[in-house]
Formats: sequence, structure tokens, C-alpha cells
Amino acid sequence: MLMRTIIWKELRERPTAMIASLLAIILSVTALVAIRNVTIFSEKEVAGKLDKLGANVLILPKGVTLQDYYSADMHSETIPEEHVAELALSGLTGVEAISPKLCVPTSIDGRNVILTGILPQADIQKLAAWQGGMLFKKHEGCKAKINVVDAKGDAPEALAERRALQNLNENEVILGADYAAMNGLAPGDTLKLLGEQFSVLTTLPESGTVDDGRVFAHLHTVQRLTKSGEVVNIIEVVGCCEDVANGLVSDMQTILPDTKIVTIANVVETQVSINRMMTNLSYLFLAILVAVGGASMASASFANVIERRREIGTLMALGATPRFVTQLFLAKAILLGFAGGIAGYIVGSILAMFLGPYFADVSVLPIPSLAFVASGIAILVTLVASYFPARQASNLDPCICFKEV
Amino acid sequence: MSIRAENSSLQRNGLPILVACAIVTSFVSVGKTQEVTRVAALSKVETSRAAASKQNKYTFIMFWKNQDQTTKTMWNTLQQSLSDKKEKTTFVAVNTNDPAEQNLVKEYGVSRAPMPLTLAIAPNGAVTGSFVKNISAEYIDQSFVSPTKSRCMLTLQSRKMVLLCVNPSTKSQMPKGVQNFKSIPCYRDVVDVISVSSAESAEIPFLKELEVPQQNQYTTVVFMAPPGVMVGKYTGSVTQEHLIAELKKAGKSCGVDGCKHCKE
Repeated sequence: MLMRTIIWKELRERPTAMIASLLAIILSVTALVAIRNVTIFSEKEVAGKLDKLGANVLILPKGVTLQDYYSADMHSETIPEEHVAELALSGLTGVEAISPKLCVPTSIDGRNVILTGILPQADIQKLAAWQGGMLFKKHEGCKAKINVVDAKGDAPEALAERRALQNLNENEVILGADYAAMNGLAPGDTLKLLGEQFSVLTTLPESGTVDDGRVFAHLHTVQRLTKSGEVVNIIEVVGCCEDVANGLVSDMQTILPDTKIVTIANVVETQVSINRMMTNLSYLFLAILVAVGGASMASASFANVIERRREIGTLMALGATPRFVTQLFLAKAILLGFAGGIAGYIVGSILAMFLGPYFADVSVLPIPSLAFVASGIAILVTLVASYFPARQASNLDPCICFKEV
Repeated sequence: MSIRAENSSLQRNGLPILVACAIVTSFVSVGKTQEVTRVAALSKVETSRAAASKQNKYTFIMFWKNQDQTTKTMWNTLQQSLSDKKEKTTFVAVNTNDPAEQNLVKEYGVSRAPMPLTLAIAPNGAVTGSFVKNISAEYIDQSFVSPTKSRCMLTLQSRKMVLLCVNPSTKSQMPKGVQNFKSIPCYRDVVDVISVSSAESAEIPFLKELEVPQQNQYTTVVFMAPPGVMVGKYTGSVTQEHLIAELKKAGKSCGVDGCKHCKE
């Protein structure tokens, strides 16, 4: 009789013990896979958000509360534009780009639009280049950002990714994707805005944010046309992460005490803390898988050995070696572990797809690589748990077994 | 015989010479007229800065908006600190609301800057110091830099890179790697090669600042990128490939694709 046949017969004849130990493994693997799946997608979501954001520090008026990064400038409170120059002239290490914005809701040809004033980087870099603070310091890590003329980086389309623009004349505008599409405007066209003619410098690619509906113009033009004065709603700062973490924010706060400084870490803090919690939970469930699944499997195997003493004795009397008996039990454990791992992966992935949007606000898809991890861990646990019962079975003396009969 | 021949030659060529002289004279006078027109178009402060530059003097421009206590204090400090440096400095005050000085305000982009703001401008046009609201004699002294440093600063302020070759003598050749780097089409217009002899006494503080040894047998190449970052320091045997690699490394470490979010 083949080993495969013996295992199959054994499983069919004693399904209760098998189902009980299989269920313990499936439940543990399900929990592990579901949590890990949601965590991975949640982390990807955070990384994606961070990648899309051009700035990691926001300088806002004191009274503003931040609800959404992309509409952080959509409020009526303002801060003096003078702060931009103060920041640029301060020579703070780690400040890579400074982008002030002024948002004014207005209507063009009867259509509501957010007119956003931006200051080209060339104007700010001019001030920053006077600083002696960074002058001729050795380039180390991200302590010093070099800023060489770069045709690609300086192109107006870079605004979508960098959230900062190198050059922009006072009679030019840049259009968000939705606004350009709705009005059939293309680069080179002209647009009448608050009584003045502007030339469309470029249209931005679709970003899926409020930026798609914006019209960007030179900050000073927006200030003049809307009679807003020399103010801005927000200053976005691209800061070097090491420096942001090492006191750049507090240095900024010292220079600009009447403002509120928010880092991107604050913005994504909730999601990051959920991710951290879920990662810890997945470790906890791994421990539970090892403990519960292993204990369940071990007790089922021991019980199985005691129940099957006569059959084991008969097998050995018929010529089965102790090695064959050990392999028999271990092969059964591998089969159960594999079945439990795959079933747990399937149930866990389905669960994650349903729970992801509710718990972590992310859409989740199955991750095939988790199937290997889940079945691998389950097989390992069942193998370890079955090892000692298998050894015990292989050490049985056929004569004693027959005496008991 | 020969005199007659010369006379006849003069008679023969007289007209063309006269025409040539007339053309040259007209060009010279047009040039002068243009210069006069340009000078006339300059504001009082711009004229003063241009004159100072010609005399190899520094210009300190104090931009102000309101005649408040801070402005008065800054102006007094400037006057006191520069009174004994008249042979190498001039200083002027500019009201940013003065319509006559709008070109200057626009040139330096200080219309929305915190005031009062003083800029130290080297004879070559480089801004060698900027002082917001506060200024002191010590800060003013730091604004005077060596000619090579002011050249480097001007280049960097134009968003160009600098390859500074510190040569052991005035006869030293530009290193081959530097020549090759400068000849690469995509770098040609964004890099300036500046040479200086390590023996020049005026440059000693600058070379000390750069930590370049003065007693060096070989050329030292200092690679700098805007706004004022030292990309690296090499011996004269540096290759263009090495310079490109260093530049790419420096460009990668920050920015959108770099360390902004601690990815690297």
C-alpha cells in the first residue's frame, strides 16, 4: 500500500480530528493574511500619497486647521508674502524649495474656477543664492540641494509633480487638466481673466485632485487683479527629510512665529499609526498561528498516535520501518499544513478585500506572494507540531501493541 | 619720384579712406550716443552702482519701506562702518516705493522682502552679503571677498556650476578632465571654469575657506554647484567621467526623486 493511500484513508476515516486541526490552521492563516494584505496596501497608499506630494512642510495662518493636503490653501486666512523672502534669506539648511500660494475663487465666462497665484522659483532662488550660510559647504547627503539649470525640471509641466514652477511671466497662466478640457484650451491660446488677457503657457496632466480645476497665474498678478494685497494663503516647503526630522520645523517656527507649521508626517500620521498597529497585529497573529495551530496540531497528532497504536503496530509487523512511520505522520502534517495555508490565504484575501476599504480606507487586492508565505508558515508549524508524535509512533514496539490487543 | 608716387597713391585712395573714416566715426559716435542714452535711462542708484563698479568699489544698497527705528539704526550702522572704507565702498538707500528705482527693485526681486534689507554688491555684480533688519560691522566686513570668490559667487548666482582650478603657478594648464567636461554639450553652457593661482595673496582666505592646500605641486579642482554647494575637491588628474558621476550623485541626493521622504 502506498503512503499516499494510507494517508488518504486515515484522513477519510477520522475526519473530525482532521477538520478540527485544519480549522485552527485556516483561522490563524486567514487572520494573518487578511491583516498583512490590508497593511501592505495601506503602506502602498501612504507611499503613493507621499510620492505625489511635492512639499512636506506647510506654513499656514495660525487659525487654519488642515483637513486635506490638496485643499490646504483653500481658506480665507492669509499670511504676509514677506515670509517667503524671510525664509529664503534665512539660509536654513535643508530647505529645497519654497512655494507660496494664494487661492481666490472667481468665475471666468460664468464658470467657477479657483484662481491660484504661484511664485516662480527663479524669484525665490535669487534671494536664496545670496546666502552665505550654505556657501561652499561640502555636499553631504541631502544637506545641500544643488540647483543647476535643468530643461526638464524647469519645464512648466513640472508644476504637477514638483508643485513648484521655475519660470512664469506675469501675463501667463497654467491650466489644470479639467479646466483646460472643459474650455477647449491648449498651450498658446489666450484667456481673458478678470479683465486682462493671458497666454496659456501649458496645461497640466490630470492629477485627480482639486488642482485639475485650477487656473495658475503669477502670484503678483493674482494679488493685483483680486486686490488681495501682498499676502498668501499657504507656503509649501520642500524640506530635506533628515532636516525636517532634525529641527528644521522648529527653526522655521522661530523665524515665522505667527504661523502654523505642519509637516507631512502630521498629515499622514493617522494612516501611519494604523499601519503600525496592523503590522504589530500581524506579528501577534503569527504568534497565535504558531501557538494555537501548533498546539492543536500536536494534540491531534498525539491523540492520533494513541488511537492508532494497533494499526501502527500492524504496519510495523508487516515490515514498515520506523522511518516510514515517521514519514507517514510528517507527510500528513505537510498535507494539512498546505491545505490549511492555501485555504487560509483564500479566505484571508477575500476578507481583506471586504475589510480594507472600511478599516484602512484603501482598496485591497489579493497578493499572490502571500500564498507562498502563508502555506510555508502553516507547513512549518504543522511539521514542527507533528515531529514528536511522529517520533513517538515510530518508536512503538509491535509486540506490545499486539499484547494490548 | 617716390614722393610723387605716394601723393598720387594718396589721391587715388583718398576717397575710400575718407569713407572708411566716416563709417568708423559714425559707429563710434552711435556707440557713444547709445551709451549716453543707456546711462541717462539709469536711475540715480543704478548710476552710482555702475560708477562704483568701474572704480572697483563695493556698493551697499539699503532697501527700505518705512522710516522706522530699525531702518534708521541700519542706516546709521552702515554709515559708521563704511566711513573708513570710502576708497572701496559706496552706499545708497533705496525706497522700494520710489517709481524711479523700480527697475532696481525688480532686478533684485526685493519688492516683497522684509525691510530694511541691505545688499552688498561686489564690483563684478555678485551679491556678497544680504542683511535683513540687522547689520553689524562684522557682517559688513564679511561681505568683502576676494576677486575669485566674487567671480564664483556671480556664476553660482546665475545658476551655473563652477570648476575652480587652483593652480600651483600662473603657467599651469587647465586639467584635461576639466577641459573635457566643459566641452560636453549639455554642460558647456551651465559650467564656468575659473582659474586661480594658489600664490595670489588676495586669494589666501578664500583658498583656506575651501580647504585647498597652498603648497601643492598639482592643480586642485574644486567643483561647485548652485546655490553654493561644494560637490567635491579633486586633484588635476580628475576625469570627466568622475565629475559627471559626482554631479549626478549630488543631484540625486535631494529633490523630488531623492531623499525628501527618506527613501534612500
